[in-house]
Amino acid sequence: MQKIRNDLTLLEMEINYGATPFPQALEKLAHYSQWPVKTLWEETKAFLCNGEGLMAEEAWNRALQSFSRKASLTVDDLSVLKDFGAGLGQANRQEQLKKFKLLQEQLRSLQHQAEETRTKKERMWRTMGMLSGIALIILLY
Amino acid sequence: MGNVNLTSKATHHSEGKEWFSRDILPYLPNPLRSWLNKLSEERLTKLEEIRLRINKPVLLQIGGGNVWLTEQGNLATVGAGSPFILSEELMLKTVTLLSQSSLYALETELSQGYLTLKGGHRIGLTGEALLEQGHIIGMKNFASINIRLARALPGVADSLVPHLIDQSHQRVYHTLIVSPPGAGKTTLLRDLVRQLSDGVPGLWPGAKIGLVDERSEIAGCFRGIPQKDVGLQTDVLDGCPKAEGMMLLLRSMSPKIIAVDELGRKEDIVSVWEMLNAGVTVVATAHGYNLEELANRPIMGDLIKCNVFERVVLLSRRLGPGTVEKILNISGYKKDEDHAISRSLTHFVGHNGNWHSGRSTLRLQAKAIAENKK
Repeated sequence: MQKIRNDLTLLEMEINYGATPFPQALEKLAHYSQWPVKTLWEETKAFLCNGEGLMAEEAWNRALQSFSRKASLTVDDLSVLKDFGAGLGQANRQEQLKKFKLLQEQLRSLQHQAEETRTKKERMWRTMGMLSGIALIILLY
Repeated sequence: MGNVNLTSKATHHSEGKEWFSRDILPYLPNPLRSWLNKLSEERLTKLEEIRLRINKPVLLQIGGGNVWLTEQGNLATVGAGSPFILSEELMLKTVTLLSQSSLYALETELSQGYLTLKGGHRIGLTGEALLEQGHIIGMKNFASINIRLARALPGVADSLVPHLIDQSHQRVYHTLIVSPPGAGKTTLLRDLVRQLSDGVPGLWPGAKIGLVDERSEIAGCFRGIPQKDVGLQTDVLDGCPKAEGMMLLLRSMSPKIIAVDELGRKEDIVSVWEMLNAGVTVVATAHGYNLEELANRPIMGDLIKCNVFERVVLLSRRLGPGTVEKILNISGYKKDEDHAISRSLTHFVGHNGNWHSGRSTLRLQAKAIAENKK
């Protein structure tokens, strides 16, 4: 998720400062990005430019489907990323940037939640490990 | 004023269907795409415009007449059968495809109401204008799209070129192409520029041309690169206002000929005088039906009355787009032209803020023009 957020910052800059058309911006992003996020940009661009006449939203959703299988995304992660795709490229720059800000906030919140859950689980497993060890020692003696 | 009567019709070269499949169809959603893909080569050759309007039938302008798409996707005369009605959703999809899902990247184009596709095809858009301090800064909620197909017709200027070259001085006459809308003046100018740039064997060796393509229609630039053949020695300034563009090209590219489309603004005329002053030939077009009508217009009239253009080509749609009605051979400057030019120049700069400084500078220019011509 952190990688996606970093890449989205680059995409936002391309749109805001470069006014780069979406297919070209995706190509640039794929060039700098790392696996597996790289595949999300590559596939979105491929769907967008395959001549089928897909809109950015449709291309994004198709690419997300295969990406979610490669990356360990939760249902919430997927839902937020899908929401971002709605109306993608159909608004002016200001509206587009608002969508980016919203997405970044949502992703930050999800990442925070994921980290909290991880910390809690870490603590739980550590405690369970200690208790299991103590139980084993008691049983042995 | 001697007239050379000449009637010729622009030949529509058969270009196959590939250009349409490559340049236009990818930007149309289904079912429009599959229906238009069925258009015969003959119809495509004559197809001029595709007009999409929300909640209205889809109209195709073919050979000057309109037909519409029926619910089954066939072409029918307007009024015959039940037409296919374009939904709001399909309009949104078309706009998204035309912009490559990048409306944010087209704010400048949308503020002018059009964008250009690869291949030089012009897409006109209307909808709800976004304003800032009284100026259009963009558009949203699109309601109409006009896809205007641009096709190079190499050779349409063949019969014209010999009349526009002064063989004795190996120069091109200052030329104005006058035509009503849709009669092929841009197409003719494009081929004329190509031939004057590349040269015509035994007639003209070719020359450096500066082309100011304010509306991206002549060279059909896509991201600054001409999509149409406008010649080996042509430098294109795309999307630039004509007046500023002419001056920029004059300073930077040392052209022998400057070509512009649709002269008519006050500032354009001042730049034309600058070109004449610098010894650069001007080849331009203007909207109009005949010379008399043009001469009565406030701005263009000044140029016409001063005989700036030595050749005026009148076009019409009488025998289809590109019918050359007449080539007028207009005599050079008269002895009293200095006065006439000065009066004319003060007329069109007289009402702006720089009247005094403008008048003295332009009078000097006018004298220089007169002396050069003696």
